[in-house]
Parts: sequence; structure tokens; C-alpha cells
Amino acid sequence: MNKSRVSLIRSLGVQVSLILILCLIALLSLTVGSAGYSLREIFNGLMDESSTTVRDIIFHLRLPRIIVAVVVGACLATAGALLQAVMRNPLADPGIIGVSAGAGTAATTILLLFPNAAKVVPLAAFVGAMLTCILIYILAYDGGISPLRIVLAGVAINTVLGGYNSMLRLLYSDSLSSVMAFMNGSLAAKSWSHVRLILAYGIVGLILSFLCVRGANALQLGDEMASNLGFRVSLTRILLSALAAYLAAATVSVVGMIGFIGLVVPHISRMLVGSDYRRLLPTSMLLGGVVALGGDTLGRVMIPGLELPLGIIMAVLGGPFFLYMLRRRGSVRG
Amino acid sequence: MDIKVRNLSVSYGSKKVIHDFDCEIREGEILTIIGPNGSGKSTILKAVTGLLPYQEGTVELYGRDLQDWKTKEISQRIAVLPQIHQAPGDFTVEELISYGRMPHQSWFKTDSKEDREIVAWAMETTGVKEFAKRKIHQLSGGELQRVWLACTLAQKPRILFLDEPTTYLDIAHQLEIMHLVRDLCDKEGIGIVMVLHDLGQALDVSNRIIVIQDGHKYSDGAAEDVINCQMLREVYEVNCDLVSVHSRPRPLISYRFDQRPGHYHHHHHHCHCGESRQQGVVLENN
Repeated sequence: MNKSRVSLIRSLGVQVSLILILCLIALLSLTVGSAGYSLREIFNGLMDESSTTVRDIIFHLRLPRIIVAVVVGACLATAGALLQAVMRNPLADPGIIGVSAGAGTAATTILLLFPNAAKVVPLAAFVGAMLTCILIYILAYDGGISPLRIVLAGVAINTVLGGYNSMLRLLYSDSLSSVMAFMNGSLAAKSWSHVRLILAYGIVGLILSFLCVRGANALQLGDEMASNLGFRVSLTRILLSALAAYLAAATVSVVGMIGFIGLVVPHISRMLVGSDYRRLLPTSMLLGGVVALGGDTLGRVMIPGLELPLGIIMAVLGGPFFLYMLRRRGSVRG
Repeated sequence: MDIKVRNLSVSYGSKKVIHDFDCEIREGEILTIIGPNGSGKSTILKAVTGLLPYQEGTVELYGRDLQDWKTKEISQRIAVLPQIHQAPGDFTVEELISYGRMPHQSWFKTDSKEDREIVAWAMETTGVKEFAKRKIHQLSGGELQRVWLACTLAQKPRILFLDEPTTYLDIAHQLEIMHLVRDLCDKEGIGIVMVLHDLGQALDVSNRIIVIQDGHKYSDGAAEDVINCQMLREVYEVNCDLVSVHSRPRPLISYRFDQRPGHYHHHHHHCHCGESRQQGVVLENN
């Protein structure tokens, strides 16, 4: 049996396992919470028209939240995986190209300066993220787009916007609660309207990402090799970045900022199925869903009576994992 | 002529690094470009293969201007092995080589039976088949270079460009690559254009040699005609003897350490190249 078939079977095995794990966590997530139900109670509740409490909690609170978590996780992980190809660095994530800083700036500005316009925060966050990303790429452009220049321009813009955000928060320190909620991306109170929004944005982006597989694989071989293989390197880099920015911005606009999924998930997927994007991309999507849903479920039950936002859970768990990866990188490449 | 380069000029910013370069490249021939560090050898390679934009002149690939080709069509006919290449270490040898088929594939059409046969051929030709399943981070430098060569061969190029393919390899692996290149040219009829630093290897393996000095073409011709003491003095500022050795078709270059470089213009000697070739006879000296 040849190698490509072995790795295909291996990656299919990983993906099927991830789907099963996802289903299990979803079922678990339906049952746990401030009101605990067994699966039997849930089933009976859904069948029985008269028991409106169970119906409301399961159908209007927990189910939409689960769907949003899975799609958000998949989008963030896909964005991270694409950017890792663009930067040719397994430690790249959507923060580098200014998505978080741009969305944060737009949201903070509106929530603090124009609190009456809070309704437009999702749209403004999306636009802010995309504009910041475009600005970074314009600054980095020099006849072509090199990863180093993107990182440098990104660091500069992130610093400026970060300073601006801190200043705003200092000036309006008495009305920060809404800003904090946005900054620590949370899935609390996500309804079916959020589900429709994230599905509409997310699914388009996720499907488009499959068209990027060839380009992402070629970029991993270095600019000159990609060019030798018939790819227009800068164009490929810009298209992949644009899609990654779109996916990350879509999630930020619906649930606020959630870090580390875009960084950590593609990296674990790389360890599981290797670096070929034909296997890496679908695995990252599934694992992203598992991690986001698992993290959110954990945040709901960890401290009784208090929900920890997913953004905080991911930062607390993701930070140590990031350090672990940095330590490992000395001995194992990519 | 398979590739025809006319009046090629390349600039980095306002600095012109290649001036009015002409050359012709054919299938079934090994053409080596030599010259001192920074003379522009790699730049020529990149400009001619479309990896680097050029400001003046024309490059014609099979009778059609390079600019009029789609990048994918170019990469179905010519392949370039860059000096620096990288890939995630978890790729297997076979996987990496299969990426060489990308110019012949599309999103809808991947890994056909023909693709797999060509990858198998590329592995066979370069002798990497026995470690096809190994991950590339486990390979030695010599093995890895053959794997990358196989990757470019999987493109099924008619002309293959190699930028210093033997750099960082020990002498045994350098010769291995040179043999491989000679075989590709003789048995498969592939045209080879390479940049080399070792003039002895260039002389032994090449059909034709082009010498570059400060971005200008210094000479272009049959290997034995181009490599001579005068060229080494003028281009490299190095004194040498060409020594004919029994059983070797081409002379050896023996460098001189007893004369300081840089003073060649005080004593112009005439070459006696090719007058007699007996064992150990110095054909040419200072």
C-alpha cells in the first residue's frame, strides 16, 4: 500500500474521530448548565409540547450557542491555517494582520463614544478589521509581499491601535463593561439570529478556503519554488490573506475577540495529519469546532453560577500551550 | 533555438546588475554559468526563467516572448531548482516530489495515474526511491538535494535550471549530482542550465560555459575554449596552470599559490592551449 493512501486513511480516521468527539461534546453541552437535564429529559421535553421551559432552554439558548461555537471555531482555525501558509510560519495567527486590533478599535470607539449606536458594532467591527488588514498590506507592499514586511507593518499598526484603545478606555473608564464583553469574546446569549449571521458569513468563507489548498501548499515550499511551480506568489499571498481576514473578521463581528484558536488549532492539526493542506484544512476546521465548543462548555460549568467567556478560557489555556510549542520548536521543525 | 535571450538588462532599484546579456539555450546540452561572487549569475538565471522582472531586452521561450506565456505554461516546460528551498519537515519524500506535478494539475484534477508514474520515474532517476516514505527532516544534505531535484524533474521540464546545486554538499555528493545532471542531459535529452562555483566541475561536465564578470558577458563557448589561464586571471584574478592528465578528456585546473593575485597585467603570456596533451604536461601557464 502506498504512502499517500496510508496518510489519507490516517487523516480520514482523525477527521471521523473529531466528528464523533464534536457530537459527544455537543450532547454534553446540551445537558450541562445552570439547569442540568439528562438526555432523556431533553428528549421528552422536546417531544412534549407542553413543557416549555426545557424547550426554551434547549432550543433557544443552548442549541444556537453550540452551533455558533462550532462555526466560530472552524472559521478561526481556518483563518489561522491559511495565514500560516502566507507567513510560512507555524506560529502565525489572525492577530498579526490586524484583524483583532482593527475590530477592537472600531468596537471600542462606537461603544464608548457613540453608545447609542451599539447596534452597528458587529458591522463596524467587521469593516474595521478588514480596513486595518488592507492598511497593513498596503504598508507592507514593496513590489511584492514578503512575510517579514507584513509582520513588521502589522506590529507597528497593532501598537498604534492598541495605544489608541488604551487611551479611550482610560478616558471612559466608567463605562467599560460593554467593551470588556466585546474584548473577551463570549458566546453567552447567542440566538438563532446570530446563527444565521455566522452561517451566512462563515460557510461562504469555509467553502472558499478549499479553493486555496493548492496555493497554500505551494507557498509552503518557499517563494521561488512556488513561482517555479507556476504560482503568482504575491497574488496568492494576498488572496489567502484576504480570505483569512474575512473569516476572522466575520467571527469577531458576531462573538467578539477570541484568541489562540487560530494559532493553536492548526498547529495541533499539523501534528495529527501533517502539513499538506488537503488534509490540514478540513482537520483544522473540525478541531477548531471541537476546541471552541469544548472551551465554551468548560467556561459554562467551571465555576458554578458564573460563566467564563470563551475568549478568557482560550487565553488561559492557549497561553501555556503557546509557550510549550515555542519550547518544542527548538528540536522539531514546522 | 529553445530559449533565446537578447539584450537583457536587469536592475535592482536604480542599480543595473546585468548589462546587455545575450545567450541561447538548447535542449540536450549542459550550459554552465560561472563568474565571481556577485557577478550576477543567479540574477540571470532568475530573469531568464521569469522569477525576476527584467527592464530591457527580450527572452524568447520556444519562439514566443516569455511575457506572453502564462506562468503555469512556463512551469510545464522549464523547472528551476532555487539555491535556497524549504518545506515543512513532516512532508515525506514522495509527498514533496509529488508537488512537482502541480503545474500539470488543477483543483479538479489531482494525482492521476500518470502523475504517480512520473513521480515514480523521478524517484527512480534520482535514486531516492528506497527512502520514499521517510520524512524530509530525517534526510542528509545530499539526499535532500536529490529529493528537490526529483521534485523539479516531476515537472517533466524540457529545460532544467539549477542554481548552485552542489553548494553545501561534500565532494562525493557533489559528484553524484554532477553524474545525475549529465545523465539527465544524455538519456532524457533535458537541457541543463546551471550556476556552479567549482570551475573544475564546470569544465568536466559542461558542453558550453558562459563567463559573467560584473554583470557583463565575458565569454561564451565550448567548455575547453572558455576555461583558460587568461580568463582566470582577468575574471577571477587567479593564476593557474592547465594540466593534461592521461585518460582524462579535459585538462585539470591547478591554481597557483606562489604568485599573489592581482598583478597579472605585468606579464602577458600567450596561451598554448591544446598544442599537446601528454600526461602531466602543463598546457598553459603564467
